[in-house]
Amino acid sequence: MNFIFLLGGLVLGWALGANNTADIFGTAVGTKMVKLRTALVVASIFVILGAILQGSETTRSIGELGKINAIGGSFTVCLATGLTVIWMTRAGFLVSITQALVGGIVGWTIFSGDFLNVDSLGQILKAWVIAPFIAFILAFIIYKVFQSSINNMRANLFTIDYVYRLGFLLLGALGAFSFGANNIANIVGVYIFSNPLKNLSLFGVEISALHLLLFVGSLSIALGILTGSKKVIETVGSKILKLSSLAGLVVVLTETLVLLLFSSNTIRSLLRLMHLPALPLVPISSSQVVIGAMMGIGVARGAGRLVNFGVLKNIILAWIITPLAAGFLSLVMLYFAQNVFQVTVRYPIRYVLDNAAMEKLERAGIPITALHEFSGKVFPNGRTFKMEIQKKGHYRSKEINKIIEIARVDSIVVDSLKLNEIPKKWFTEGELKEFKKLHGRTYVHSWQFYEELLNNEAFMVDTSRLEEVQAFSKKMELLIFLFKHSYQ
Amino acid sequence: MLNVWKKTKDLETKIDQYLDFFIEASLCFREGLSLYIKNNFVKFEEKTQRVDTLESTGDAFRREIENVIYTELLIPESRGDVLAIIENADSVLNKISEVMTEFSIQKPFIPDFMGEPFVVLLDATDRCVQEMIFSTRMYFKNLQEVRDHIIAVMHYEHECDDVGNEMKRAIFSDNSLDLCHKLQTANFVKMVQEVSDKAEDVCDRLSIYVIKRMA
Repeated sequence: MNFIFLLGGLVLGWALGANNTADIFGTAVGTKMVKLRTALVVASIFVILGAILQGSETTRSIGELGKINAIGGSFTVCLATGLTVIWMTRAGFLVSITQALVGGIVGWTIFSGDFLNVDSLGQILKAWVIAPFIAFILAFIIYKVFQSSINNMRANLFTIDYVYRLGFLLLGALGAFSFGANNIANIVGVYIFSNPLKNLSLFGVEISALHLLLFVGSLSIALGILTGSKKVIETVGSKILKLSSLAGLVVVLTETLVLLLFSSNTIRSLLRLMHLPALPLVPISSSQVVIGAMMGIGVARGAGRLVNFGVLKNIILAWIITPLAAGFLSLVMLYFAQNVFQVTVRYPIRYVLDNAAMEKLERAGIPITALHEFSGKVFPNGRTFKMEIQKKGHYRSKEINKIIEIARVDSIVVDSLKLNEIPKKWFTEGELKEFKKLHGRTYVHSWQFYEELLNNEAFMVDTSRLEEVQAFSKKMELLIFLFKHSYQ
Repeated sequence: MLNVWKKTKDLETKIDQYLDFFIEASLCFREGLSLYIKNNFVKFEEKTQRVDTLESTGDAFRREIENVIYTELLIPESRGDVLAIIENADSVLNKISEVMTEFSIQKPFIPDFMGEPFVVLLDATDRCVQEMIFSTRMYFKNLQEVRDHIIAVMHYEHECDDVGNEMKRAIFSDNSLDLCHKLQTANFVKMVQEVSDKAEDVCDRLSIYVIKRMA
């Protein structure tokens, strides 16, 4: 059965490869600086390398699909997302996997009757609108600066040509590497603890089941790149705006910078220090960034009117359709998976305001007087719970979200034997010993488990250092996923 | 990537060698016709032969360059312009060869009083072609300098026009020559002038390609 579940991830992997290579190499191929064949081969190799060498780190964060609490549900959402993307890609649309995945997860949330965090969804949607604008401005500036520098340089045409080529290939390889490293979690992350693959000994070299899983996942991306990406590459590379080599290079550079802006904690802290508005660290679509950058260059070249608005309209349409289609397909497929194929696609998420939760709310500065009548009462799902709190009329939207988050029942049972499924090097000896001590302990809420370990000396977390807390949170995310009673 | 570097460098060398043919052909043109005026026909024929060889070798080089640019996808962005520059330049080499062959076939009579201005015309034509080649080289190596050489080409082409027209006037105002001689000599002066005209045409196109690259 686990092999079949893994198939969902592999379909998504194929779709990722087929669709997203265009963001990395589309402009390079469009400007004919890199041959299509070279681009496909380089992208495939570096995606695999990124997934294997760096992926084991990012898989610690499980990925977006980790929000779904049953593997059958993850599989179905994966499959629905993958199929949506494949269908859209086949039709030549430039779609965003991130958007499709968010759509799919929203579909699952609606299906499971759980509460939909409108605030965080709103933040993601806001980022989807802001990111192309930032790319537009950044590309405009970079293009202007580069153009005047090149004109003032007494450079040889052949040298410029070679530098462009090298730039495209290096940035492309780097892009493919980080693409593989960052996205592999979305493909195989949820299968780490239900890995159908076993450790393998090849010519005396021991290959762990996790690395095999990463390899298989990255292979599916590579296969997508080799067999399905040509059409989208052509759309990005030549149909929207005829790009010069310089413009192409600026697009790739802008894309790298904008993705970094939305994913780097260091940049976020820097912006805060400079009293500038910090950007939310949410998954954004690289495809949208590419389009924004292209538009910026079009305007910088005074060729805004040369932009093919017909193609652009299609792309914007695809941005709207993709999450909706993925969400709808998820809903339909989840219904069939549950009712026809008898697959468990969700475990009910219950909510309870026990003593611990009440104390935590008080510590968080949320008035609890109005909540006393709910004390100890178990709510069968998030939607009912939210409606009950809303009826009170005392709380703002942010506070309601916090109450729901704190009251969620996660049923965590520490099982130190399960730690064998994780590569040993992810935890120190001291930490592993501590888990043995905690063996059999149960926690109703995941934050209880988190707080206990945060204050545990064996984990040595310096709470004044943001990076340490973040690294710890990632570890906890993985452990909570592992020890959650439902997700098996 | 090293492979691409090697291919790019090979292409650069090939284009350089191709342009070297023009320098040599232009020098042969000036020296060959100067020898012709001095009635040293044997040496003139040797120079004509050399220009002929340079023209056919140049053609082979041009085809090879075009082939490399197309099949290896080198300098794709400026590919169309580079090919046009090479094609246009070729017309100058063809013209030089054509003029020398006509001299060799028709053996036109050049009156003594035309000797000195003819050398001046040949000198200006040679300089015009040399400057055209410099400007073309600079298109590849240093875009900022193309303009300087293009201005020089315009200057020498203008000089060729002036000297040539003076010569034609002198021919037709001389009473010792019959009309057919006058027409033939004037026609050969015009043919020599056409070499600098072609060089000017190449530079006119080149200045557009420069603007395109700077934009």
